[in-house]
Amino acid sequence: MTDTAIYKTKRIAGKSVMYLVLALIAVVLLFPYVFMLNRGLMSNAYIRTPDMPYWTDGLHFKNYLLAFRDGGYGMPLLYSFLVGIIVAVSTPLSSFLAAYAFARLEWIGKKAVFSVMMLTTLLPGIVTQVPLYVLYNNIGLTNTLFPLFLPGLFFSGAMNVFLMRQFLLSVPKEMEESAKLDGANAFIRCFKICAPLCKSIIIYMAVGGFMGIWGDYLTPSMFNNRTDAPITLAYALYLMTGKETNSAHPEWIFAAATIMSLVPTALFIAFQKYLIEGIATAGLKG
Amino acid sequence: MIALNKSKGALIKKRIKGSVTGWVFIIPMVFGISMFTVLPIVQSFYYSFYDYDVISKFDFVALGNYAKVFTDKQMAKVVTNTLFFAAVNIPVVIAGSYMLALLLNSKLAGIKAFRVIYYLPCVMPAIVGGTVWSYLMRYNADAQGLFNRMLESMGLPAREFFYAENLTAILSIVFMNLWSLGGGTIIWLAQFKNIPKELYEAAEIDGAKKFRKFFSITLPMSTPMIFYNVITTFIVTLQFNGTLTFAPNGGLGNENATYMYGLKIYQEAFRRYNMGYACALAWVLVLVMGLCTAVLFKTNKWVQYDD
Repeated sequence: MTDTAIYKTKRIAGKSVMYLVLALIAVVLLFPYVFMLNRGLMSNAYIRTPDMPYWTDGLHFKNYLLAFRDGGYGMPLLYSFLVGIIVAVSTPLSSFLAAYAFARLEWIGKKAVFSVMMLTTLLPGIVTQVPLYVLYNNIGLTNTLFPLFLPGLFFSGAMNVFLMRQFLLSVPKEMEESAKLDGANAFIRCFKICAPLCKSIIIYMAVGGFMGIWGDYLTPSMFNNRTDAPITLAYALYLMTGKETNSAHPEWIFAAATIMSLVPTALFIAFQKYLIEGIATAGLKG
Repeated sequence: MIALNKSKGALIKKRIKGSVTGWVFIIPMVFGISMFTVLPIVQSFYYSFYDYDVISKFDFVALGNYAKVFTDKQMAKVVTNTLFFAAVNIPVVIAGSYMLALLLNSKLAGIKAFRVIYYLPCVMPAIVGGTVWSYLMRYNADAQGLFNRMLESMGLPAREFFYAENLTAILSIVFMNLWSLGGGTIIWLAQFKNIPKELYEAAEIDGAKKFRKFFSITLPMSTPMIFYNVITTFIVTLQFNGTLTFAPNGGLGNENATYMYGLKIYQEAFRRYNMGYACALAWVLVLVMGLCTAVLFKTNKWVQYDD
């Protein structure tokens, strides 16, 4: 064999090993996913055998319908979408308004407000949970969906505002300045000129906000204590943890769980460019 | 002189006018942050000196709640569990996601598809993951979970996983966390992109091999991010209460084997309604986090900043 032939075989062998390792890890990582898919498709009789089978006995797609119609996951699914859409709109909107004020406008007290905001990032969220419970309890918002989206209508975290501000600072000012000369006021400049330029980060925050609230079981678990309260899908599934063995229809739990994972998965695949970029900048700048 | 005064007056006028616009933009955020963040922080500190149950009791106990943090019989177990979890979880998560990122940083065809697949478990909502894992790891003689079925079919004894009554329950949680390594990986990959290519080119001219390039360029250039990730992972780990979604007894585990600090605060606040005590627990955690972060910053000599 010539030297180049040896080199080539070595390279091919190296590549094959890499692919093998990558594929092996992928199989391991997808293993729980496939387990969930299978259990959501099992017939009731089959899933209730104590054998804990991995592969399903058939494709009982009807489970998806039954779980939401008869299994009690229907309303929670609707509520999840409702809350998710509110948050998907309010997160970028509230962050954008504040970020615009920080990045583009001059006003008395800007430095002080910005410092207070950045200081709040130092304290873990766990500190505010108890007073928030007291607040919601006093104004009658426990056992409602409000705690899930109310704070975000005004302020959805210092990190979001900060990221948005950083992004705005990197957007050139020239277009705005010429619009200013034409008499455009701050609102027009903010929404008509700046917002389209910030499309990628706005999408990141909308999708990220939706996915965050979509999976939030903790907030309702803190602020709900009545069984007749309206609940989201995440909390409905949370109420089932530890009760699966008593459930008459475990396949419905997994059918609901499958739909619950499908939504963020689809969003991630559709918007991966924006999400990966956003997560990376959040991680690097934070 | 008059002209100067006039322009100064106009300037102030302009500044006030500008401030009005600014405040119109910022007022929702100022309201939100005051109402839902700043005020709760102040209240939390205030409550921590009271015996408060939301309904009727509101008695001043001075430092009583803080003293209770150190006399509470459950705390020894809670602190041991939390520290053990932190000690195992932080290095495993950081080293694991870093190695995964090195793997995904190669220039093979189709590597992008693998990056997506590796991130998918992070997209799966935590509650779904918890449900699935509680089935996989279930330890129950009548209805074993899938892992135990597999072990038994191979003739091995069943394992307790997070149903164990000792620290192995926490090891099962760390094992579970391996599935979400993809989250950190994205950040590492972005960091690798920021390393100047010239460094590698120069190294290649000098005849450096892969390993040499890794230890002399990639690793030192990632130290600022490693440091940053150690701190953020540390802060998240200390507050972790994710056992709620899968461990037995409402996340406490058998014999409190998975009872950790984040869950302790949650339990005291929302299961026992010891609001004052829960606030004191939270502030002790803040203090510990602050001190540890300060120590980490003091000892970060190994971090290389490129200035």
